[in-house]
Amino acid sequence: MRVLAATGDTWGISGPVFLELYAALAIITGIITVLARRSLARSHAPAPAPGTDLVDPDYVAYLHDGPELTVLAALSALHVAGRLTSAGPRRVQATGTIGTDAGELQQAIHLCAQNPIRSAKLASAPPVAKALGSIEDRLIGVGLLLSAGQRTRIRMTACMLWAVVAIGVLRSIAGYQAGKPISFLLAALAVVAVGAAVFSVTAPRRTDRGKAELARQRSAHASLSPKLRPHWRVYGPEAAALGVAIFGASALWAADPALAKDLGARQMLSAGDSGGGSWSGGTAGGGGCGAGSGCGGGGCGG
Amino acid sequence: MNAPLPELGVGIGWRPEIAGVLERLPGLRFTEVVAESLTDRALPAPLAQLRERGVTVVPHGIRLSLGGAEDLDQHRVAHLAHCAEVVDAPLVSEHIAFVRAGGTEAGHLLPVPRTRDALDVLAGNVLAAQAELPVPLALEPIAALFDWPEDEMDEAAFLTELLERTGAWLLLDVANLYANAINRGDDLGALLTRLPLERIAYAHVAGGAEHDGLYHDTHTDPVPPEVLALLSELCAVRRPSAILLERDGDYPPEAQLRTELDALARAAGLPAITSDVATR
Repeated sequence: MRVLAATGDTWGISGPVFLELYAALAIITGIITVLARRSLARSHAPAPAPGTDLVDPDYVAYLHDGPELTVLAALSALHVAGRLTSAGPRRVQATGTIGTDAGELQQAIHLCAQNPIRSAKLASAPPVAKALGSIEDRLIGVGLLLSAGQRTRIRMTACMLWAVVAIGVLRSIAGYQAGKPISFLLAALAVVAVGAAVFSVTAPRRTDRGKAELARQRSAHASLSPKLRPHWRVYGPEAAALGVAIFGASALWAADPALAKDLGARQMLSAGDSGGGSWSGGTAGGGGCGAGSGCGGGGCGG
Repeated sequence: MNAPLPELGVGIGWRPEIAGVLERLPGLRFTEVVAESLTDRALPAPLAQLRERGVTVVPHGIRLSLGGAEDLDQHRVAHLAHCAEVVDAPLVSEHIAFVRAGGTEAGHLLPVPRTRDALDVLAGNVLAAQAELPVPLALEPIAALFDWPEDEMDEAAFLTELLERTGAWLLLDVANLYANAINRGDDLGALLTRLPLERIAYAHVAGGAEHDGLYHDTHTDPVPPEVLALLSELCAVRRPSAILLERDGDYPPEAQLRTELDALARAAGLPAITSDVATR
């Protein structure tokens, strides 16, 4: 028969029993945290009406990987359309004129690239940042991307695990003061603390619907996969942007290696990697572009 | 013997680079895939989607070297057979050519001399391949820039006898016919009356370009009007069940490919595949 408690046990519970209870508590709390995070990442926006699917490559790119990939997709489209040329390593320059048929982002890039500009600086150039900001706002509005507040709430779920950490800390101190062995407890505590820390700093960008939308785009446009080396002259600028939007920089490497090299686009590990698609090119100031932040000024910077 | 393909109209060869173009052809019922471009892994997603749509896919071999004096490469035959199975093909095709000799790869389809000996070798290889293939085989005479000096038979007689001896079908390349007429002086009118047209499984049409009086079957240029005219002539005599546009590089914008497919359909007297047949 197991001895559950004996005189002299910290808090009246024996070490091994506490360890078991603690592990169970940590696991249950971990599961609840994951479920809570998932629930908070669920989109509560009304489902889009049929026929109003996400068709604009800018939106798909932003949904996939944020400002830099969105700029890269737009640069690809402009290049295929003959409205942009590379101007030496990692620099681009606009050519010709751009009509109003092009979206706000492409117009902004075209405007900012009237003189040769480092492609990495484009995302933070005010007109471009403004266009990127409105893309982000719209994606949040339709429930595909999580807002900053939603992401904070998701990270906040980690406080449940921090509570478990606190219990472990208190027990360790009490046990230590009573001269009991606490090494197993400290090990368990470390695991829980790492989990709590990871949950505290990470939060997904996309809602569940955003994830599903990206997967839908990937299967609907399988012919733009870099594995097939799609010929952009056949498909045109919009498809070029969509290919980069869905499959990341590797789509540009497959279709236009010269431009990819000039832009310093990063080779992706795998075209199917949903987390990938990033493009090295400095930090972008895209995203938030509230009133008075200089977005309306039209200055493109250098 | 029943024709291996039903009436399938105009098609275009599936190439990875232009896979999306085929997706947007509502009337497409037939395509061809280069067997050597498929691996043993899963079919490329866009090709699998075409299969799900009910589009007939014919694997087209380019490296069997049926006209070679060496034994057939059994791995290549097995791969062609495998391709036929994974796309559930009613037919596979290969060229009447050799691509290697003495261990050297030519990297090109080379014409077989039209001699009795070469015919024996070719027929032997075709029969050996057919024994391993799960579906009928169609043979495509190639475009050649020259004749071998030892030729003993003309193209029509050579082909007729080959098909009779092997039971294989004919994959007639209209552009090759035209090329051979320009380059080797074949008499087109005579060819059309003497070729075993009733043995045609399907036909190829491709673009080409003339340089210094020689016609090159490039597959990277638009289909010239002369080839379209020859297609019309062939269809007036006997229209093949299926007619396929081959484009293998220097791809033009999608709209241009669609225009070319429409021109092909018009020349053959077939419905355009660029719009939905049901809604036209």
